[in-house]
Amino acid sequence: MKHRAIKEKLMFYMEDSLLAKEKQEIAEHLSHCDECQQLLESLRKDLALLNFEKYTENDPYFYTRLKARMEVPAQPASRRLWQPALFGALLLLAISLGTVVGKQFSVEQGSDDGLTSELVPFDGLQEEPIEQFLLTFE
Amino acid sequence: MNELALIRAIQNGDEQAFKQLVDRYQLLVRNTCLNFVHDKHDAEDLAQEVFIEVFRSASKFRGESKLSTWIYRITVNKSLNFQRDNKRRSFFQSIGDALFGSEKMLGVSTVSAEGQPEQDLENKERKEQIYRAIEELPERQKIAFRLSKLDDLSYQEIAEIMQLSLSSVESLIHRAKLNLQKKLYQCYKKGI
Ligand SMILES: [Zn+2]
Repeated sequence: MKHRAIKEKLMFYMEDSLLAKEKQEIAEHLSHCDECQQLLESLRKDLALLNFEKYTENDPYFYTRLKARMEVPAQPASRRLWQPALFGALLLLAISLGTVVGKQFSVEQGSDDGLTSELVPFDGLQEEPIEQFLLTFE
Repeated sequence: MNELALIRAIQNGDEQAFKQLVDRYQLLVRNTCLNFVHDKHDAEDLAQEVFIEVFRSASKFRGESKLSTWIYRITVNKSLNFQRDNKRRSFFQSIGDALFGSEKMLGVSTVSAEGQPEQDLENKERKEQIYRAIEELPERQKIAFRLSKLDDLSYQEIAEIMQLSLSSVESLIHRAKLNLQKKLYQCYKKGI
């Protein structure tokens, strides 16, 4: 096996899930390839971290908190809702401002020359797709 | 009380039976939730939601699978929904943070080990790196990998939870490991 093929098998070598023959080949390669040695070491370190934290004992208050939550009628998680709501409000405010500015702009233009019809009117129609976007996001 | 009797009792509103079930399965549920969301507060919320769902849909449990398999399935589904919601939420969160500063600065807890402080930081970074790499796996690979590696379940159990054949699970986990290896190699290359 070449270096590249070995590299792809290090995860499985580490787990000891390879056939004896492959295992031996890789062990031999490792004895003289620094890069593969380092990769193996890093994989080992990283995967060992995965089982680092685990609860090992029941939390005696878990049931109490659960019951408390079940007795309260479903409450919206306020922290999670206010941001989209505020964002929506700000966006609508910005659109309204834009509408006002846009209207003034088109009126001024219109009084000057005959190009009014070519300017896209900045009216309520523009708001609709954005409002819908927010609704589907909720 | 055996599993079916327990769940039937819960269906009939037996609070003691529900408490027994929670005591029996809270470690399983809390650990699985933690494996999926990595944040202790979120995992706790989620674990509660799982048991609320178990309570509400007790009548749907037919005893065809082990109770633990059924609870795992609910836990995985809830965790996935939570992550999807969270992705949407973080879109707004990032805007909120940009406007008003981040709540995270106040030390809202993330999972972290206590102990040797000098090793902590490096481990924390490495852990974040590997969680991120797992996070980026395709969804089914991610689920199978987590259940196998983090929950220590057998491929057979995972197949039952995910309602897939054994060979599909084997292949998912194999691909997950290959992908993870690749992602981690990329991180090492960048010297992270
Ligand atoms: Zn090599």
